[in-house]
Amino acid sequence: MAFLAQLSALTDELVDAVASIPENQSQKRQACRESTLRSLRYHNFLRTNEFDVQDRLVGLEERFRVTGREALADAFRKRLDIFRPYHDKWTPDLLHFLLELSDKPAQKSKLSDLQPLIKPVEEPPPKLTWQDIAREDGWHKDKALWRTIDYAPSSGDEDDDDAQSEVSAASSSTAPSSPDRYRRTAHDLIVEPVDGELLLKQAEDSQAWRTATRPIDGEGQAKKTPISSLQLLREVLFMLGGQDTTLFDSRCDPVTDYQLVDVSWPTHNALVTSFAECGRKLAPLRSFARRKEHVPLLQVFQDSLQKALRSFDQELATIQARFVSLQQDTVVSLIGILAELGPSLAPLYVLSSIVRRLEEKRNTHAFQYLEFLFDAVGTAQLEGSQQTYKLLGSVFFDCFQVYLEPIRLWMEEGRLLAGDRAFFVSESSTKLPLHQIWKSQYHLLRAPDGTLHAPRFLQPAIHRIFATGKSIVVLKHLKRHESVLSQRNRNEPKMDFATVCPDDLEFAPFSELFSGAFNAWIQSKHHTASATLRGLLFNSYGLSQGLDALEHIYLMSDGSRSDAFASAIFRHLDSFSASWKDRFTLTEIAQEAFAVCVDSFRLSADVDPRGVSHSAVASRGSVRLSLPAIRLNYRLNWPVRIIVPEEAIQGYRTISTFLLQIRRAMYVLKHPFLSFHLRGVTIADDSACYFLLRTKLLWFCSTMMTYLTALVLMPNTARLRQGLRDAADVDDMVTAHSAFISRIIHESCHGPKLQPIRECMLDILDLALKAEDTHQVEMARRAEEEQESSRLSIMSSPYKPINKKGRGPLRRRRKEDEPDDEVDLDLEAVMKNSTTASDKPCVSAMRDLHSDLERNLRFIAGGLRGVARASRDEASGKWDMLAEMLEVGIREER
Amino acid sequence: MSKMPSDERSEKQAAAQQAVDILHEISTLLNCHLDRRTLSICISMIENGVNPEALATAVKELRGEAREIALENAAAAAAAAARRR
Repeated sequence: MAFLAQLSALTDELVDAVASIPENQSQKRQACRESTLRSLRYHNFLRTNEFDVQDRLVGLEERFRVTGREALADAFRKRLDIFRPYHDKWTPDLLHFLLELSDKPAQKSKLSDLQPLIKPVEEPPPKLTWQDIAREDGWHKDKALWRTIDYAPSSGDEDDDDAQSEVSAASSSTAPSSPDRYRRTAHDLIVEPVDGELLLKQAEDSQAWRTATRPIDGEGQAKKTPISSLQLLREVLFMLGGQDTTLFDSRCDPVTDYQLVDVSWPTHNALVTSFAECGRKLAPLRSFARRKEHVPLLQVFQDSLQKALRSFDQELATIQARFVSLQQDTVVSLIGILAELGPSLAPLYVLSSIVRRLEEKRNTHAFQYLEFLFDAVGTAQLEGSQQTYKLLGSVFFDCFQVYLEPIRLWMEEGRLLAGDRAFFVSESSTKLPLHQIWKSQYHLLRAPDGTLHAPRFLQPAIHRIFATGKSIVVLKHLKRHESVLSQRNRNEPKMDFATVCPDDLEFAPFSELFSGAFNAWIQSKHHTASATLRGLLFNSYGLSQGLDALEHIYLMSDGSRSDAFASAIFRHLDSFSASWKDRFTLTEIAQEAFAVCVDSFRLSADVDPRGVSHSAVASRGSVRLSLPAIRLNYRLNWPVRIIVPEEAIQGYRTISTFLLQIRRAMYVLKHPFLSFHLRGVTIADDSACYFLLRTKLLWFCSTMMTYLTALVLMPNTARLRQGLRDAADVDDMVTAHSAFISRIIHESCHGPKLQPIRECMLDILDLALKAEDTHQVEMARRAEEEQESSRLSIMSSPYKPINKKGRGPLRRRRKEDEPDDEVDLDLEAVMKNSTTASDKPCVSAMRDLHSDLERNLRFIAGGLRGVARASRDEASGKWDMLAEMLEVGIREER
Repeated sequence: MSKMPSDERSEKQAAAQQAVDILHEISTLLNCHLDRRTLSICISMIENGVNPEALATAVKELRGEAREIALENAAAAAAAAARRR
């Protein structure tokens, strides 16, 4: 029912809209309505077929195009496209309806019918443009608008004799041709004085002397134009104020055409020359102050100069004021003026000389004038001229503030201003790995002659500034920068003249005051950063643990661990296996050995490829050939690597190799290849020789070991720890560590000077190996002889032993834990290697070795003593001690 | 039942207005002789379910009626004018 009601309401509206039956024919209207309603409700039409509708639309568009109505077709297509987003379920019906109602559109439709339907685009209100304003105001008519205005004071017709008139004369420079009715011009402001002409005449007369022709005297020479003192005074004051005058030319030389009345020429000349002198000294100052500078340091200097000049000009103005409106009788005394201006001129002379020196030097640094100023302040203080001292001091500190800016930025943030060439720190453009930042990322700039690119008076503090900035950079990389920032709550001390040089310290030298104040300033920034970084290195980044680990690995501070490592390697060496040359085996051995005391994941080992080219037999036979090739690597964090760089690790490795070599000798001497316990062998003479030799060699090795451990490594590591704790900043720590490395290298006889002595020591160690080899060969030979004899005796008996011939006793004599299958190889190799087996009997071989040992010992001891006497190294004391320890062995023999 | 917020309703109304505008333009191009009011009434009727062909027929009939009435009025006015003269 609701539908019906709505439908009938709509039908009524439709009828009204379309048929528009007038009011009086309501019956007709009613009839109309009902018929319409009926036709709408009861009809035979089918439902809309939307595909049919689409086809008809497309066909219609084609028809438009075919009949030549392209524009209509385009508009139609456009509207259909625009309508597409609004499609809903009734769209086909709507379009069907429109198509049904369409009345020959191809012929009758007109595009112009669309125009009323298109909503007009709103135009924005017209904008105001400069052209409109110009047109309104009539700029093109106002010629005076475009003239350039001359601001310079016009010379030659200044105001004169102001006592007489107070009206400013009309300026003759700009005058509009057509007065603009909106603007006042100078003409409007002219006030005609009562006796204007007279005043003007008076003014002109008073200035007539400038242009007066000089009278010719009797000899035909022009006499000088007389001038009064007041005129001369005025000229002088203007000249000192830097303006053009008639009596002085552009270089402040006096023009000789004029002379004071009633004063003789020499006097006048002297007076004028002295004023000219003053002016000449001020001239460079004024010209410098006017220049355009781009560097901030120079700009601030210019600013200070301008301030000083302005105060001087004010003084001149005060003097002028005295003479301008004379209320009472005043004495015009030029010499008085000179004396009055003297104290003010003195500091300006100093500044002027600084400016002149600056200009003389070409290609100066921007901070050159700071050095000059510094010296000048000191000189002024020494001379006792307080005014100069104060003025120059304040100028210096004003300029220094600007110089401090990059320093402050560097010390607080670790940043450098790009393009700042006055600062002495430069950054290298490549990005370096983290552990090299400290050493190589930033550099101090140096002049070609080696001096630092910084003012002389700052040079003592440069390194601390540099170190602070680098600490900040490292802290930023460690991401701990904020803690430093937060800790720095206190304000930095003020660096200005009043604070640094207070009046009660006026006898203290300026350089002292300055360096004290500057050090305090630096300290306020330096201390926090470096302390934080040091603390971090020790606490968070495990500097001490790292050093401990290095000591364990390289300096063999834990004997049991190092023994485990060393003996594993020696076992491999002795068994001729090549597996010790393999990186992974070595790493495993090392990690197993040191697992207790270091982080084994950081530890790795490898072998120098140059060291593995020797045969297994040769490697076994000498400490020189194989052991130096073994390299242990311990990976440290990058902050610790700042302190312990790669070169230090090299030093550690040298010591480690040496210790390993000594241990090898001791191992060989203590663990003989074959057992001593031979059946039925009496201790013969050669054994006694062998035992003596062995004892001596053992004594030598343990002396060396004791020396190294107790006298070299222990005290130096303790000293290193102390040094690191005491270090003020990272640079000191780096220095302490590198000093430690160089000390242990030198004291362990690995320095370049002690090369022969070291070779000798290695020879003795090789002797040990050779002695053992010889002895083993001898023992093996004897065992073989025994075997022969016992076998012969057994063969003669009917009972045959089950054991294999020639192998059993040997096998039994071996230690149980040795691999059995390499016995023959070892023995043959040893016999091949040892030259003494075939050439000489064992006894003489032993004796030879003994004498070699003696000789070497004497050489070492003597050499050490000699070098200790000759050099003044720190290590010479230790060498003396080592020589003494070794001489014990030598003296006993004798 | 959820009530639409007023800005959504106004957006829908604006969209509906635009749709009607475009349809009016299309009907002008198709020379349907429909004014806006009639068109919107017809749109409402079609959206209520009236068959479009039936509606088109009804509109044509009404136009015919309107023409007749206009002719009658014109004749009456001419007659009245003639009488007055």
